[in-house]
Amino acid sequence: MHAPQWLQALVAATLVAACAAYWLGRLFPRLGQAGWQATAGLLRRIHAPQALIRPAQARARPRPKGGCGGCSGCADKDCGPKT
Amino acid sequence: MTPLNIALVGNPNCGKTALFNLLTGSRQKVANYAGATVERKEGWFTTPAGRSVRLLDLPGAYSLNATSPDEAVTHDVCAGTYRGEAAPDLLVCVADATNLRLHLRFVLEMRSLGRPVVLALNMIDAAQRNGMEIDLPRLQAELGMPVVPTVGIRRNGARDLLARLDGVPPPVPTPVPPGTDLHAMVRQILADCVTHATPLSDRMEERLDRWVLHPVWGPVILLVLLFLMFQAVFAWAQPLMDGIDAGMGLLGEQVGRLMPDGVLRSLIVDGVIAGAGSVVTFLPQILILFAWILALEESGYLPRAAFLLDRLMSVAGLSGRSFIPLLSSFACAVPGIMATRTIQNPRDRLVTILVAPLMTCSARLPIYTLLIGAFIPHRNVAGFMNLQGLVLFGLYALGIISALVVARIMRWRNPDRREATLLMELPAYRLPNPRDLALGLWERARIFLMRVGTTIVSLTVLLWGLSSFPKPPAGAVGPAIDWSLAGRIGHIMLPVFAPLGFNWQICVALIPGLAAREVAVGALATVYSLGSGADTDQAALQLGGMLPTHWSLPTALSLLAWYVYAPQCVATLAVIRRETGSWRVVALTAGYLFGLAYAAAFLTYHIARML
Repeated sequence: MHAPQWLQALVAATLVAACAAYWLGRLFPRLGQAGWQATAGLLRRIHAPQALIRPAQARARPRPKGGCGGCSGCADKDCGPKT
Repeated sequence: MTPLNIALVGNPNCGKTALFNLLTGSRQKVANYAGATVERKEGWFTTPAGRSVRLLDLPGAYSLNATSPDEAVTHDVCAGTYRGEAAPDLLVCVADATNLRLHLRFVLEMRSLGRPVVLALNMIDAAQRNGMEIDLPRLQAELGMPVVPTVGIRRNGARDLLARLDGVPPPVPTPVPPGTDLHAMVRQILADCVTHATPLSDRMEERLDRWVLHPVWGPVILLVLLFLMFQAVFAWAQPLMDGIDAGMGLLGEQVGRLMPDGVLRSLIVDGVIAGAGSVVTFLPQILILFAWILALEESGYLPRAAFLLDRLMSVAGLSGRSFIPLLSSFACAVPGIMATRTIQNPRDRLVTILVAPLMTCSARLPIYTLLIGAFIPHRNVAGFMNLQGLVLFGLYALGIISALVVARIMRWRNPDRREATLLMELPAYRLPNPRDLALGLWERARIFLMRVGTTIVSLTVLLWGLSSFPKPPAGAVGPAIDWSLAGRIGHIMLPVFAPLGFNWQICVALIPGLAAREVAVGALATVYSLGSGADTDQAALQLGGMLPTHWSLPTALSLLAWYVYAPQCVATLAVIRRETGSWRVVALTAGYLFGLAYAAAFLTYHIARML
């Protein structure tokens, strides 16, 4: 395989894996949180910038079961009956 | 200084949430109250003097004598008796200044809670526009609590409230003596404190309501409005859709030309651009639909529609209270199902939850318009009615009628002799504010594009992966996609769905459609793009033009019938589980909807084949 083709395959595989991980995290939130915890740990070990570590830590925290609980089709702020 | 703990309370539709959002901005947290499905909204802000405030936005309540779970939570939190909730230091009672006759009764009830209260007279600008003059100092004296004017939708609209919070803490108001006629007391206060000439708008409102609420003309007007709405979805959107289509085609062409041949090029062109691009094309139609819904909502017409439909809904075993949750389900079933919390009767609430998925949500619109555009001729009926718009109207009507029939059957199986009288507030008519409409549409467009950028792109990338690998063995005949994992899954599912006229490509598209309905369009675009070969970048984006060469009309009609009934996305089932606390209800919902979808698609396919 030529180098560019090999690179293409690697990028494509990474994108597919990232999308798979995204959906696993949505379908199994605890698994997703564990994944983000591991990611945050790894970022800290390699002394990554705080701008990368903080979002990973935030995603590792369990979210309260409020609003619709996962649908991204609404604005979330206004989800639910108007009071 | 310890943070001040404030609870925001008031009747529904008083603008409480707007005021909450104005005060707290993005510093909010949404959860549920412990042991209840009632939503808990908490926010934080700092007063001009630097005092930290924790603000709780309580559910709207007409009275402290609770008749629904929402009202029970409001009462208990205000009284400081809700387990796990700290008693509020101060109650800010929000009232609609244009409708004090209704809202002041609740304000008087607040006096009996034994907590300091401040009255926020909201929408004071609208009251002034209507020619109302409110003597604030006198009102303050008669109510026995501080009164501040607010405008929840204006940037500095809470200035007076913030200044009051920094002032001397208000005393606890004297309770109203038990047995006092609160209505008479409200009338007296209004007579003393409020003066207004009967504005011209009130007389016009009465004249309008004579037609809009007429038992015969009212439903006719409603039908005409809905019919026009669906005609507009097709008639107005076409030039914009063509523009987006052309743009996506150009993008696919350019990317295909610039990138070297290989898997990444295929992923970007056949997966992302074909998949997500085919969904983005429907944005104009979604915006037109929402423009109508927002305009009807802003104009004050929708509660009147609920009143008109109350009788029809009672025949089906529902009350008019079900109208707003069912109407919300036209946008998305998730907030619609959550809105059933305002339905007091548990049986009515359960039935409304069970039939809400039958309301055609906005995510179905791309599928409907794709199939209608591809298979229904673009011509007029009776000289002025667009046939495509008529079919779309028919699909929506089918969903609504089916919901009423299902609700009727449920009532027959489980009769409930309790009657829930519909008592609701009809807001004043007003011309929709163009700025508010534009903001609402911008928000919808943002939500839709975010959904495309996250949910839909990620699913189409996954589907591309499943549709591209494994590669066919050496010497294999037929399209490469037949050998892929998606192709094999589609062929495994085919025996179940072949009686409905579905091919394996449709079977494959049904699976990601469970995550997001409109992904089915992107999935079909990806699957057909990959199946057609590498030179069809443009064809991939013209799914509507390709489908008639691959599918028969009975297949298309069968798929339409399937989507009218098939259970909506997984998020809908998840919220049903959350709201009912029962897996049995989820199973019942999914089961009856799949059954209806299969039966409807089967009948449609075979009848269409015979014609």
